[in-house]
Amino acid sequence: MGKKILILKDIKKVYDDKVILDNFNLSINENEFVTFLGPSGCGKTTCLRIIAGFESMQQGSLLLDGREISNLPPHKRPINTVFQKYELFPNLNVFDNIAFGLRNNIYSNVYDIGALNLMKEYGIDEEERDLLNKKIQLIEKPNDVKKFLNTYFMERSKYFMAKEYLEAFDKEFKHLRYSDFKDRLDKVVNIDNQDASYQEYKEIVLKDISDNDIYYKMLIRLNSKGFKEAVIKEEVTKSLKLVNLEGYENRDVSSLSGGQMQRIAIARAIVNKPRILLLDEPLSALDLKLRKSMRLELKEMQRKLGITFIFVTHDQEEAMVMSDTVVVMNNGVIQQMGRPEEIYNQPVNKFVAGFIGEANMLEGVYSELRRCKFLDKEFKVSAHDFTVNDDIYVLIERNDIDITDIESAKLVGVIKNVNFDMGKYYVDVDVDGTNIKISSEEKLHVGDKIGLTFSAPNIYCESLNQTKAALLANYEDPNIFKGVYLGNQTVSFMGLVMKTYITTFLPGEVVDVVIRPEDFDLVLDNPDKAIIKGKVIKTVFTGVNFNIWVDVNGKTLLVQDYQNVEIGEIIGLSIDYYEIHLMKVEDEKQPDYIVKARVEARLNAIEEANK
Amino acid sequence: MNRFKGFAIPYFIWLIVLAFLPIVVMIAFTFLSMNGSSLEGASFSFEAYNRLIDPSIAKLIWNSLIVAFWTVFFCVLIGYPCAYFVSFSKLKNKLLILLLLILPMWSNSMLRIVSWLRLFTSKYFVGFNLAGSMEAVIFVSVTTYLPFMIFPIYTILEKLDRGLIEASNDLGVPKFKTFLKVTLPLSISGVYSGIIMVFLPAATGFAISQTIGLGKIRLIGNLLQSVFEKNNYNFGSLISVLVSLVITLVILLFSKFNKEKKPC
Repeated sequence: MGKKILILKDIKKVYDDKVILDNFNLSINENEFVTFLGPSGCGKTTCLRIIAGFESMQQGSLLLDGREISNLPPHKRPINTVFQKYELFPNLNVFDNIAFGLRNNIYSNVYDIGALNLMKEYGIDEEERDLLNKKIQLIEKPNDVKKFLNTYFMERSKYFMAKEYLEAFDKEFKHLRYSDFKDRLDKVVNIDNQDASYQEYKEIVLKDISDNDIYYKMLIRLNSKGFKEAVIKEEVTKSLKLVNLEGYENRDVSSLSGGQMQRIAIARAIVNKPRILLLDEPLSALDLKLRKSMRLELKEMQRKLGITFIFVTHDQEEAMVMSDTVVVMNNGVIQQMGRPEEIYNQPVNKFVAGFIGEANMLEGVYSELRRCKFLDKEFKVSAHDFTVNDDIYVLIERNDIDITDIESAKLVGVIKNVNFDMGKYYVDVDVDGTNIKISSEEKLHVGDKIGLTFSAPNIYCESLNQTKAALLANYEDPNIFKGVYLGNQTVSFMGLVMKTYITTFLPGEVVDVVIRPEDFDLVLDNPDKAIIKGKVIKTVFTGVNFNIWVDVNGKTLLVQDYQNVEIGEIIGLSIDYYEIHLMKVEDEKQPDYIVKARVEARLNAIEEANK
Repeated sequence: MNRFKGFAIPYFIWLIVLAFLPIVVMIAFTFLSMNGSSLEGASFSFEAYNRLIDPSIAKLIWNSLIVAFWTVFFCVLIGYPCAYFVSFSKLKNKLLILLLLILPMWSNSMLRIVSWLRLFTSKYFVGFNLAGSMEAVIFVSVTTYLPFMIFPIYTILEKLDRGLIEASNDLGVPKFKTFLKVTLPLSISGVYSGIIMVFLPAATGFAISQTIGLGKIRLIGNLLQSVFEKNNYNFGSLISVLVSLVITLVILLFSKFNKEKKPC
């Protein structure tokens, strides 16, 4: 969480005397969904190709996990790409396409994946697996991996220990008595047949050990014929499942539809377990409907895999909906970088405002199944995967809003501003104080009243809580506490009862309470009057501001502020109710009645909708 | 499409008059004992078939296949890299470069063959005196037929999506392995058509073996030529049919092998 995975420093790229990228600085966190957004020719694809290693740069450095990779050729970088035109190998079927990397790459990471899978299958704990994985990562030559694994399993195999022991005993047999040997072996295994001869005894011992020795079993599996192919098959099947194309293994690539090719391209990349997945406008070749559903799927995939995604697009709606961080680019320079809402609400310059402004972003509430309320009106929407009363934000593209007559329109507004560009009028309409952007072929006049309408499929909904939670998940050291939602927009945590803006949880539900460190305000003159009171444990200057750790009722809070305080000082903290975020906690951690109530609520909603 | 069906008619007439009928006539000739190509006084006979027993004919066919094999082999060896490097170079006018590479082929082929003979027999090039040897015949065959190998390969390579090579590199596969696993399997069809285009003329030609071979190297083409020169249409037809059969057989074998070999 919050660990930097890729750092781009002062990158400059000039091609034919034209500056493509200039002074490009960016750091990307682990497990983040980053989008490069900008018009064509802004350098976003070049930047992606530099990261992948297909393009060189004149100046700058590229650090992956702290290691300089700008001199490495593409095949030596643990980064995979989903290409705009998919680039599936036409001579191979779906299975062979996905297996291509595993079979031919220079890392030969099939044995390590296989060994780790085996260990999981035989119930070896995660700690040991992690440790082994780290050791494998240090091996330089891929051919040594198998050798290393063999030694590793052999060293831990009781069978091999016993065999070695018996062999050593065979040498010394003349000098020792049989009973000595038996006594020693009895310590290792229990044997019923006390009358067995030495040879029989030896066989029984070895058989008994080999039957119960999981390391020996894994060793045999590792060296069995076809182990590599079996691992490849397992991995390919897994990745096909992830992209929802199970059973397509033997299909010819040319028989697939655009959407399916897209999925195969993703599966082919992620099967190699890259550190970073690059996606070069992968949705641009799909039709609108498919594009919209793929957005959600991609986001979901990223969450499941926990891989950093860098996504390139010129479609601002796409960027807004999927990303944790949006990097707006123009003419090879980063214009603004931040969370989607930040960029939407506080564009730093005219370019960002103009480019982002193509979509209308509105906050709303999911009022009932396939219905949602925003701008004080209820609208039909096609989204159906929300719970009633979820806070959502709604995106409607400028081009998707039509003008109608005032009488029949749900929304009526006054034209504030009209701009003409490229044969189209770009119009700002004021609807009850909210600015709605539309475009029109006909000329419209400032001050006129018009009605606005849009159809359900063009309204795009995204959960507000979830997005915020996803954003916070990327935040370095957020304050996360277990709390209980008390109902009526109150939550209890750390022995405090606080108001929150969230309404979607059930009374009694366990939630994660998240507060960003910079959202706290210090109350220094009269700490007793503040909502939260605590003692300062430690302060650190970060270069910009101070990190202050405060002990509150025995628990530690991280606060960030521009002013410093003394260690040991009792300070008060205040926080606004809309800065207390609640995140869902999985069902298994909830009290039973909450789980039951949740299921019932869902069933009721579906039943009502069917009526 | 059906509206344009009529355009195929001339070719059908061409096919029947100039390909199908001659083959029928040729097969018929093999059973006739006659004087030249005149049908006057012709009689039914198996005389030509009796002459086939002569082991020298099998030897001639074998020689032709050997020459054709080595010609194809060296053409692939030289032609593929040539097509590859021109196609993958960053040169602006690649086709022109390719045409310049085969500049000697712009002159008349007979002229070139005779020039090679002059070089092979020149007193200034001692040690290069290969005239009359199998090697020289193969060498001149390669120089003559190389363009037929380069061009189909070049065309296929030009059509190859460079993004696939990037995709392979991106998946962790180094350059040479990418060539083996992506570029080669996807351009092999160009090699196959090149092989057929070189094999056919190399196996049946007679000019090169006659001129460069100084009459010492005799291929099946030379036999055909001399038989027809002696106006023996009966035996000539039979040899022609035989050569066609052998070549068809070789190509069938080749395409069978071609299909069985699955790219991986």
